[in-house]
Amino acid sequence: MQGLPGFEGQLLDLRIVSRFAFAWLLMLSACRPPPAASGPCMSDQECRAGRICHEGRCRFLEEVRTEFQQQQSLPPPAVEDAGAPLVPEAAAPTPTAGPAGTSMFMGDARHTGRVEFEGPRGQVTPLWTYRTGSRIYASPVVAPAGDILVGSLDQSLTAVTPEGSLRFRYSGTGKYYASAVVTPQGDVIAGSADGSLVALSSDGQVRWEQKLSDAIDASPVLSDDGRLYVAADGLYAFDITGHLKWHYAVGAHVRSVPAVHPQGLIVFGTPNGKLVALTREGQLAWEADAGANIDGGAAISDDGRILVGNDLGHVLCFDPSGKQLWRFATGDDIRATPAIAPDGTCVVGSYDRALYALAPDGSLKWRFATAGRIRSSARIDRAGRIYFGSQDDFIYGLDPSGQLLFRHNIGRDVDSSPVIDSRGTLLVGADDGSLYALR
Amino acid sequence: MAMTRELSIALFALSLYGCARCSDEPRVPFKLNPPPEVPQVDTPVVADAGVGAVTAFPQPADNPVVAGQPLPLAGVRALYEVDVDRDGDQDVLALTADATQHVQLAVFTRDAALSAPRPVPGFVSLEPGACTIADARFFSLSKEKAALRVELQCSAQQASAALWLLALEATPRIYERVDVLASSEGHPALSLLPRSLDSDGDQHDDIAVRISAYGALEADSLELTWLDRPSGLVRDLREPEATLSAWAAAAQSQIAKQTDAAVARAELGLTLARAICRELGSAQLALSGVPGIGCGTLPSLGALSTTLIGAYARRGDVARAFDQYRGLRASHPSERLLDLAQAALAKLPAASGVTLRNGPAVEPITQPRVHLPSARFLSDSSLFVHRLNPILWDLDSGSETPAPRGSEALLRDPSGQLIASGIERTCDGLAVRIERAPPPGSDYTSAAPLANALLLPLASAPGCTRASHRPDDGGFSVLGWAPQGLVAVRGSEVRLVPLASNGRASGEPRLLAPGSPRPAPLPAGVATRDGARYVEATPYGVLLYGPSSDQVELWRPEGYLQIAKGPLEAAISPTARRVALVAGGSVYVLERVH
Repeated sequence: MQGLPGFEGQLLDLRIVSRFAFAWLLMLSACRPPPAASGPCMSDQECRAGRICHEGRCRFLEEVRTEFQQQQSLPPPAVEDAGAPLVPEAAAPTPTAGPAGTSMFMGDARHTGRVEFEGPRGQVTPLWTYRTGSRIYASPVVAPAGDILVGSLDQSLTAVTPEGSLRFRYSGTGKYYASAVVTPQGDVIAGSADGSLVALSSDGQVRWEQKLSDAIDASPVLSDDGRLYVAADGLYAFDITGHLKWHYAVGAHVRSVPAVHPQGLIVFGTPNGKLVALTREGQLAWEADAGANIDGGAAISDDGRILVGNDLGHVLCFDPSGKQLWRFATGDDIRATPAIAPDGTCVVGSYDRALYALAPDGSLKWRFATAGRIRSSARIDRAGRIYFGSQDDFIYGLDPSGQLLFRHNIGRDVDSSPVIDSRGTLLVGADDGSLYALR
Repeated sequence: MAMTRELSIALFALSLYGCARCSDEPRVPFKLNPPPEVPQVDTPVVADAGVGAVTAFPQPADNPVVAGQPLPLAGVRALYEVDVDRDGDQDVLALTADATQHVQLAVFTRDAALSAPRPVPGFVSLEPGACTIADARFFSLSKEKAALRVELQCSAQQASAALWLLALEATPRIYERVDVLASSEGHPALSLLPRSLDSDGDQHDDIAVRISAYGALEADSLELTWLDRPSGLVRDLREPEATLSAWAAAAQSQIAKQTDAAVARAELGLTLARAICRELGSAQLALSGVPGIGCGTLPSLGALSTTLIGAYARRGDVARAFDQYRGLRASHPSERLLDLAQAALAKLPAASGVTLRNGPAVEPITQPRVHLPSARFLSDSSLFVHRLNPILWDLDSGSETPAPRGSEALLRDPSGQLIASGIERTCDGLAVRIERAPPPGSDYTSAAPLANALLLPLASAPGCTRASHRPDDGGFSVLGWAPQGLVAVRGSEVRLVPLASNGRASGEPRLLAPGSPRPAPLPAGVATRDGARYVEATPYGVLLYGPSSDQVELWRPEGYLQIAKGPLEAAISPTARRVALVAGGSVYVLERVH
C-alpha cells in the first residue's frame, strides 16, 4: 500500500489501530453472553406495524395462525401404553366433591375443573380489570354471593365485586401463590408462602389463623366432611374452625394440591416422585411411584381414576388402589392439574406449549399448540368448552373438539387458571398483577 | 505489515482465551461482581502479637499441642499462650465447646509442666443448644490485658457475638462482657474489635472497643473506651457523644456540596447511637447482660437529625425529611435546631399545578380524639362540612345544602357497633381505645373502653398501672377500620392492628412494609377507600402518600404557609385529585389542576 509522502507513518499507525480495534471487537463479541432464550421481544407492545410477539420474535398474526394450523395437523405424539386400561368395575357414584356451595381451585375437591355455568362462546373483551400490586399466579374463586377472591404475590388477598370494585383487601404476611377456598357459609380460607393459613368472614374479618412450619404453595381443599386439607411440609388436616386434626409429614415441601377421592382417600404428589394416598384419618393407604416430581394436583374422574402430571411430562392414570393404568408422554414438564370432562376426557397443558385432550383409555384425542408454556389448569364449562391461559400472554377458549373459539391477548403470562361466574364472565389473573373479567 | 498481522492473530487468540474465561464465570447483572470465594480454612490460625501467641481453630480441636505437649482438652476453639502469672513461663488460656456447645474458658499455668485446667472465674457460658460457634479468637492487648471474642450462629439467619475483656493474672479475671444481641440478618448486627491504648496518658493501658455495623469500614466505627483505674476498668463517659458530635459537625459542613456523604455520615451516627444507647430503646449491645449502655443526654442526636433533614430536603426526599422531623420533635430539641429543621422543610420542592381555594366555615370536631376529618369528601365534588348544622358543599357549583346530623364523625368498625376513640400510652405501649358505638343519630359521649388494642409495643415504665394510662398518640393517626383491623399511620410508617369482630386483638400489631397493600376498605376521610393514598396536613404543606408510603408528594400552593397555622386536618377525595384542609375554622380545597 502506497501512502502519500509524509503520511506513511500515520497510515501505518492507522492500520495497527484499526486491526487492534477489529481484534478488540472480536474479543468483545466473543465474550458476549449467549443470546437469551426469550429473544428480542417479550410482549406485543414491543412490536410495530400490527405484529405480535410470538416466541420472542415480532411476527404478523396471519403468519403465526398459518403456523398454528400446520401444527394442529401434525400427527399426535405416540401414546405409551402401560398395559390394558383398567377401569374399576363398580365405579363409585358421582361423589359430592365438596360441601354444596363450596368454591375452590378447579371447582371441587376432586379437581374436575368443571364449571356449572357456560362461558364465552366467541371472541371476548374485557369488562373490567382489577389491579393488584404484583403478579397473580393463584386462580380466582367465586364466592356464593358473586364476589371474586384472588391472592397476589403482593401478599394481599382481595375480594372484588362482580362489577370489579373492591369489596375488601386482606393484607397478609406472605405471597399468595395458591387459590383460596370459599366455604358454603362464605368464609374464605387461604394459605401463603410464609406458612400462614387464614380464615376470613365473607366481609373480610379474620375468623382464625394458623401458622404452619412450611410455605403453603398449593390451594387448600375443603372436603364434603368439612375437613380442610392443606399441603406444606406434608399434608395437614384441619376442621373448619382451624383446629389441627392431623399432620402427615413427608420430609419435603409439597406443592401438589390434595384431591379428595370419593373412596375416602386424600391424594397428593410429592417432590420425590410419589403419589401418596392417605385415609381421612391421616394414615397411609398407599404410595405409588410417579417417576418424577409432581408439582400439579391430582384429579379424580367420575369413575374414581386418578390423573396427575409429572416433571417428565407424563400424564399418569392410576386406579383407586394406586395401580398405574396408563401413561401418556408430552414433551415437557406438567405443572398444571388435569381437568376431566363429563365423558372422561382428561385435558391438561404442558410446558411443551400444548394442551392435550386424552381419552379415558389414555389415547390422544387432540392436541392444541400455543406459543408459550402452559402452567394454567384448564377449566371446562357446562357445554364442554375449555378455557386456559398460556405463557404466550393469551387466554384461550376451545370447543370440546379442540377447535379455537377465541384467544385474547392479556399482554403478560397467564399462569392463573380461569373461572366462570354465574353471569358467564370469564375471570383470570395474570402476571401484570391484574384480575381480568372477560365476556 | 507482518507484525500487525501477528498482533491481530495474537489478539484474536487472546479473545478466544478471554471468551473461554467469560463463559466459565457466573454472569452477574449490573456488573456487581460476586464476593470472592473464601476458601474454607480448617487449619488453625496462629498469630503472635508480641506478648503471646493466639491460635484460632476453625473446627474444634482435641488435644492440641502447645510447646510440644498435648493439652488434655477436647473441642478447643481458641488458645492464647501467655505468661499470666509472671513467672517467666508461657501459660495457656483455652476456650472449649463440647458437643452441646457448652462453652468454657480455662487456664493452664505452667510450673514444670502444664497444670490441670482451671476454669476462669466469672465466665458464664453462652446459651448452649442450637447455636454453634462460628468464630472464636483471643486478642492479645498488653501484658496485663486480653480479650476473647466469640461469634455464634444460631440458625441460618440468627447470629450474635460476645466479647470478654480479661485481666491476665495468675487467676485471670473478667473485667467486662460485651454482647451483641441476636440479629436475624445472618451475621451479628455489630462488629466488635478490641485494642489497647493509653487514652488518658496515665501510663496504664486502657482498652478501646471499636464498634461498627457488621462489615463496615474502620472509618465508620466509633470507639468505647474502658480506662484502667485502681478500682478496675471504668468506661470513659465522653463517648459516644464526642464521636457523634464530631460526625454531626462534619456532616453539617458537607450538606451543600456533598449531600450524599452528609446523609451517610448522619445516618450512620444515628444508627450506631440507636444500636448502643440504652436510652433510645433499641440497643443491640449489652454490657454484663444489661441491654444498651448509658449514653446520658446526647445533644449530638438533635444535630445529626437536623443535618439529615437538611440533606434530605436538599435531595427533595419529602418522606424521609418529614419522618426525621417527627423524630426530632419527639426528642424535644432546642429552638435553634427546630428552626433549622423547619427552614429546611419550608424549602422542600412542592408539586406544581396545585391550586388553593377558600371554602366554607367549619367547626372542628374535638371529641372523640380519634375521629373522621371535620371536612371530608363524599365524592370528588361533594364535601361534608361539620358544624352545629352540618352541610354538604358542592365544589362545582359552590352551593351548600344541609347534611344529616348524628354521629357521623365516629370512626366505626365495619359492623358499626364499635368505635376507635383515642390512642393512649398504656403499660404495654401505644394502644387504640375501643368503645361501644353510641346509638345511630346520637352524639358521642365517652364510655368505658371495651378494649385497648395494642398499636406499638413499648417498654413499660417502672410501676406502671392502669391508672398510669394517659392520652398520647405518639404521632399516630388512624386512617380507618378495615375488616382486618385498624390502620394507623405516622408519616410513612403504616401499622396494622388486627382486630376481631368483638374489638379484641386477633394478632400482633405489625408494621406494613413500604409498598405492601393496605387493608381495605377504609372510610372516606384521610385515606382513599382502597387505602392506596392518604394525606397528612403539616404547617409546611400537605403530604400526599402513594401506594408505597415512601412515594410522597408535597402540596404547598401559593398562600398555604399563611393559612396553615394551629391544629390542622386534611381529607382526600376519592380520586386523590382534591384535598380538603381544615385550618383556623375554615375549609380550604387544594386541587391538582394539571
